Amino acid sequence: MNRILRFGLAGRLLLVLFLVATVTMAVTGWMVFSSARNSLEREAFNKLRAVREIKRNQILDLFQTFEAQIDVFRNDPFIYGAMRDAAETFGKDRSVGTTTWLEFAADLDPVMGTVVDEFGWYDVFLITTTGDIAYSFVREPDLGMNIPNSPLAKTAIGAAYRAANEYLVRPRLFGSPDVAFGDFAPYPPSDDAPASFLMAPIRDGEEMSGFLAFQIPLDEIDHIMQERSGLGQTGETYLVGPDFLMRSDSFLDPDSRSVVSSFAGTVAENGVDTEASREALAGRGGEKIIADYRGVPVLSAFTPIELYGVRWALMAEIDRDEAFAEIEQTRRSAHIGFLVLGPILLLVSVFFARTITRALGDLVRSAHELAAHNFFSDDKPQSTDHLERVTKRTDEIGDLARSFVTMEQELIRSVDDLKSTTAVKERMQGELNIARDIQMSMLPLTFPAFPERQDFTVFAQLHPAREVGGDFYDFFFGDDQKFFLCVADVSGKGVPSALFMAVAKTLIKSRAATDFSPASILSHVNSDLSRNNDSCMFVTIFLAILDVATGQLTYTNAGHNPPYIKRANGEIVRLDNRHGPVIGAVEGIAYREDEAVLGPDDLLLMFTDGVTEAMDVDSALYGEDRLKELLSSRDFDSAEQMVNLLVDDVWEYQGEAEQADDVTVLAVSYNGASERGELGHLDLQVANRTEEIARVNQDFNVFAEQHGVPEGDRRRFNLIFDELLNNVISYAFDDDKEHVIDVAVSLEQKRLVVTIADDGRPFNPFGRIPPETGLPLDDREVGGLGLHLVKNVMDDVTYERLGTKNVATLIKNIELQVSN
Amino acid sequence: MKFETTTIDSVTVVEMEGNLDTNTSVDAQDHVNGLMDDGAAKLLVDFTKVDFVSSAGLRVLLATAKRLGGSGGSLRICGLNEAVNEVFEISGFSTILEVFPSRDDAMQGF
Repeated sequence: MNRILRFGLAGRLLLVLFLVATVTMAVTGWMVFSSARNSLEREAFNKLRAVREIKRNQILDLFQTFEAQIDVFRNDPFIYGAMRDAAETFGKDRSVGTTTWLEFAADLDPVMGTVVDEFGWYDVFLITTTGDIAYSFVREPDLGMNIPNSPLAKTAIGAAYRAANEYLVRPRLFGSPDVAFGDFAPYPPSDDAPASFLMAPIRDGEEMSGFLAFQIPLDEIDHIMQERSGLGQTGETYLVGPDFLMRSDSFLDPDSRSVVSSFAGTVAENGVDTEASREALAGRGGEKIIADYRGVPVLSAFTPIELYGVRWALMAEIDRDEAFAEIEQTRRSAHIGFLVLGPILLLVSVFFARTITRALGDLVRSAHELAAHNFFSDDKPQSTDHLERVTKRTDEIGDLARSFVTMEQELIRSVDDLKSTTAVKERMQGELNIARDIQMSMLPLTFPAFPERQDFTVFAQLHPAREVGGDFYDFFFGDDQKFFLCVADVSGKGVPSALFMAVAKTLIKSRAATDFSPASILSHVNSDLSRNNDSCMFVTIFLAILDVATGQLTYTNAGHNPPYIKRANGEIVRLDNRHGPVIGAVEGIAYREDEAVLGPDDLLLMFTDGVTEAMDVDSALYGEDRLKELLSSRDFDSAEQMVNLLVDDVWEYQGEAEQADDVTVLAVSYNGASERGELGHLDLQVANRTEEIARVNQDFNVFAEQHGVPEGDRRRFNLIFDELLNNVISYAFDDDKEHVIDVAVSLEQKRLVVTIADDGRPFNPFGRIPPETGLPLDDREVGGLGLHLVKNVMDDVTYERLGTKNVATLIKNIELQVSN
Repeated sequence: MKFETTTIDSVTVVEMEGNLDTNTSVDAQDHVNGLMDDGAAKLLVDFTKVDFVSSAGLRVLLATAKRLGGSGGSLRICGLNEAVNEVFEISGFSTILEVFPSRDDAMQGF
């Protein structure tokens, strides 16, 4: 896991780093390269354009110079005369062979020779108004020829002549020269060598006396175009005429593309018909990368150049390879750099990825160690070496590692806190459990509470919502007949309520010892509780006294839930009289009381609001209606059954919901005064002599027979009189004085109750360990056997020490025989 | 308490009448001891006319049974009413003494 993670992250990091670096390098390289190429191209074109413009200006300057020369010369009076003489001498015989012409020419030649040398002209001509070449300095075969009427008409000089005549008749713009130009063309008189001419009329006063013309020298033009500054190895400038033939010699192809060979050959082989030359000859200047006449890619700057109505193309070109030679250098450097830098980048990426992922790996290992650590054991985790190494980093991983260490420390601290709070909580829980035991021990919890009584039964359940609760119930006899019952609810829950409950319960019980009025008891207890009740707690209570002999119920309700009586006939009676506020709240309240009567088989049900305010999962209350419904829909055999059914119904209603409040239910089943009534009673005073036992038995037998007590039961009582009285008489008295033992026999409908009271020393006859009745004959002792018999033949035996008396109560359930 | 003693074959039959209790047990013990002193070895106590037997009475029977047992004789008891039978059951005497429903049953094989 650890390893995979590290490799996975490292691999990805490495890939990303390397990709980013190489892509960046490639893009940057390409951008630099392309920008360099662009700028180099721009640079190269700029240079070409500059050269082109220079050449163009130089050519135009050259022609202006030519024009200026011819213009100055033709207006010289010397030329007027020369023209007149030429026309005259030639005109006589139309020949240049005459003596007069030769004389004339001989006079003129020196001047003309000077001019030709001075101006660099190739040749100079004087032409008559009719087109006769009347003088030429070089004297080629054209001398003496008539231009319009000879093959010369188709040559450059013919073109110049036609143009010059046209200028004579055509209105001209101001300042526009009347100089005519004849573009290069093969010139037969010069063996078809290309020749070009400038021609201008000679105005001798108002009269036009002829034309001055000269043959333009090719070398002057070539001189300009061959000048090579700024053109490197392959750069050249040249001129192309509208016939796509050369107007200047090519530098790169001097053999095939000189002006001479151009006019001697074809356009394809010896001319220039390229995209650039076409553009320029169409009148458009510009710069382009094109294939030149050789088919080689060149940077070409081109422009048209207008000469007296003739358009030439001026080309400035350089091989692309040379112009971009630096680019190639850059590209090679980039390739080399890439090859060198690539592996370095790779190594750097690997190293960088490693440092990050190793730190992460250290962190991961520490996290695993932390996760595996048991913080509840006492050994603290040690920050390990690899974690410490990571915390020293100054980057984000270092931050992470430091927070990791902090987290670990916090975790340890939290666990420590948790341990101590858990200990505190456990101790509190333990104390609460003890408090609960103490509180529950204050309630009468033993049922049946009065097993010897047939006149009523009482049953109760109390379920605190918390460990200790504020509810309580109590029941006890005030005297033989007055049976106290109470159910109460202290405000609040928990320990404070429990303590208040203990106080309230104690006050009630101690008051009840002497006071048989619920109203009076609560009035007094209320005053006691209210006094110094700083905690402002209070108690709702229902306190009743049941006269078990008569069924009369006297009760006071102090702010408590009204109890119900379920009559034997099924009727439900709600005891909803209220007799005052809750107790413990306001001092000095005089509570009132009311009376009700319980008949045979009536049930009294008392409860706290934990019953009616029990909530189901939807927080709906149990309610009085459901309680009443339960009471009326069911038959209850006993108080116990009634209590159990009600509590079970509350739990069922509550379902999964949490118990909100203490639940207390107490019920009394009254069996009726008539059934309880004594059928017979026998009181005997017995002296402490064994002979008295026989008298007791005799008297008892008479009583028993009178009341139809079955013989077996009668004999059982004979036995217990014999045993118990013998026991008392023989052992209870430390002196020899006469003592009286009180024997009381009470016969009820279904049982016989005997009490034997003596004033001897305290002795519980039923507290002894029973004898071993299973031993064989020889091992048997008879000590304690009598009391063992008594306990076993009776249904219930109790012993109490009341004041100075031992009181033994013996109860036997009997079926009385019908006496006739 | 009255004792009616008859001898049938070798068996001395004592029929008691009244209560065998604290007050009468001394007389009963004396009477039975007298019979044993006279050589009675097989003793049958008939309780048919006895109303109840207390622990004092049981003590007499126990002592008698022990003495007879020690001299090669034996004690049989019969005629227990419901209450007396209950006392025998509770005390465990019904298992350590030879108890028979009637005198005829007790005489069988004695």
